[in-house]
Amino acid sequence: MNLFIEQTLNGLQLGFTLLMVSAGLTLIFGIMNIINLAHGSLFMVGAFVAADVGGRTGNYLLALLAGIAGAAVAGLIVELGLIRRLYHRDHLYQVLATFALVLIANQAVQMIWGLTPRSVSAPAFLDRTVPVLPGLPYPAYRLAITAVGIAVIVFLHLLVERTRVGMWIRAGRTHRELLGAFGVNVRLLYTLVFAVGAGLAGLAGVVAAPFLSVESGIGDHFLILSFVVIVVGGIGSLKGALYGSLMLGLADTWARTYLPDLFGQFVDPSTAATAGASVASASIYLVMVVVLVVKPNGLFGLADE
Amino acid sequence: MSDPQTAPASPRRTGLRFGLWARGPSRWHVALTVVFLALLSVAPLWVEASGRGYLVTVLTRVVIFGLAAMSLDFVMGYGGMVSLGHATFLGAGAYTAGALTYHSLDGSRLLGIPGTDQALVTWPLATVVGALLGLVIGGLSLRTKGVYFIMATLAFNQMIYFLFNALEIYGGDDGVGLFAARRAIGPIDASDDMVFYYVCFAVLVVFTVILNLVVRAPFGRVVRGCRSNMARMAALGYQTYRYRLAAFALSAAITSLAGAMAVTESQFLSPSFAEWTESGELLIMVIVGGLGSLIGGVIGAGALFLLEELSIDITDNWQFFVGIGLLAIVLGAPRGLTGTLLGGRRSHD
Repeated sequence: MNLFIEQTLNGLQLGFTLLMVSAGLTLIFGIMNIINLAHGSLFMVGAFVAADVGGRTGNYLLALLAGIAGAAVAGLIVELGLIRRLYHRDHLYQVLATFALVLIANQAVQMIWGLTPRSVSAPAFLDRTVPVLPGLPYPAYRLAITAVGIAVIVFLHLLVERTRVGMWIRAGRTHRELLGAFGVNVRLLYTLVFAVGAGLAGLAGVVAAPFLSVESGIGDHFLILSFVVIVVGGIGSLKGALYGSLMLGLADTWARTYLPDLFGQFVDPSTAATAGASVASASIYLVMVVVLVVKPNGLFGLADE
Repeated sequence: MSDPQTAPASPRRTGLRFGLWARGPSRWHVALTVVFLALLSVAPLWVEASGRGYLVTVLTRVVIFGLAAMSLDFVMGYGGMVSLGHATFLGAGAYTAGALTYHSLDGSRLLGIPGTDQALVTWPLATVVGALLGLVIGGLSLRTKGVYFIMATLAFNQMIYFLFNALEIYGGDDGVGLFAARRAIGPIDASDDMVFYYVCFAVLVVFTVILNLVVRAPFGRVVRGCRSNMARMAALGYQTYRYRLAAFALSAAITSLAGAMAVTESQFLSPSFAEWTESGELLIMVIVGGLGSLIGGVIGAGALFLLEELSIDITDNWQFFVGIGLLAIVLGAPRGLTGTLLGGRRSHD
């Protein structure tokens, strides 16, 4: 039972990290209708800037802020320099241009920070365990990530549903031209949303960095996982991003924990370990397959707007 | 109700559909195809004569990856299906052929079947595996449309990549060398690089002819019709899903064959064949060469490998410059090399 609670908390933590990446991606897609492969590179920029600043100052909070700011600034530059030329192009060319950005970014971080992987350590004040239940200590840092993830989704929900900017974002999904006709500076709105999404990707990069080795291309896997989240949850929907992220985080963690044992009931242990690990690594994609069969537009998709 | 692929929802989509995507095979494309294949038929003799024989293997890779890019162009340029997951099939072909070769080397069995390094067995088998996998992945991904399709194909790509990574028997993420294997194609001993090049070139020529016939055949016309206006094709009574799926599976089969050829060429099996960036590179080849021209995929592969070969001595960061060049092409010359070569001529669809 303790194992189950622990793994569920791990799954939630993975899910909320994923949410920080996919929420920005889905907002950007929802309002600007642009597919951005370089979103994973912004994750990477966040992690690298945090590793650099953290390494120099030893101050985690400073590293965190620098990582978010670095990714947001990188996002601003990318939006102003490239993305805004792509709004009216076909998805194919958006894929190509942003894939070019991925190639450039992956090499650029090697040129700036070298080939040696870096690391970010969890902040000292969270580097301990707290008892979530009597007899069940759990790392405080992982709980903090979950808390930050909850704060992010609450912030985004209030931003989109309760503010004037959020009203523009919702209007922009369906009535882009009309929004401009009402005097809203749509270009500025796009730039703003893109920078917020970029900052969130950077935040995810910083908080996930202590579990990873910070090297070129670390954001790519999170990018593809976010795509799975969006296919599962539906494009443009924060609710979809939330449920999709949590489903995938839990599916992945539970599958990795229980499948090898489950397979062990039927076949010999070494086969079970291999088969269990393979199927577990595929588990999130199997969730996607089920959703594609049952609801091709995603669970909360706006596709039939 | 604004379905991006069935109705011209907004002006920003129609412009491209009637401009770039509507270009079909014209006699200019046929002429370019013949000229480029003729160049490829003498290229290895020329590099050998000029004392750069090591380039023959580079040319072989141009032919093999060009075949894969050409089959991607078939679904993308003619079928309007933007797949960011074709490395899936490259990997599937590589692992089918590579696994059989691996088991022939150590005499063990794969699911009860003895291994073999005979390409007349491994290549066709890889093609069949690719077609079946294409049916499954295409069947699921084609339930979505537009940008979802791009994301779904990419996601399946990553899934297959991780499955290959988990295959410890073939070295996991390190892969495994198959250097002791023969390069036997029927009675032909293709261990010589020049002989192997011409075997691959012959395969390329065969599939260039086949794909050019397919896009002109009634089947190909329906597939192209689905790209232009799916609602109309459906209203005409065509089962658009089935036609598109068949086209996707055909493309997957040919890409898988290319994967099998690639592993026979490199004699090294690793998950990198199925890496998602490989899918992106195939896309680059198609766009650099020119979308919707078939031969453009091969031209694009040639341009990319040439750039790699030229810049590898100068810089370690050649991908950085590939990225810059790609941006320049996307922003400046969206019709690719073929489109630019053929100038402003509009082809007849």
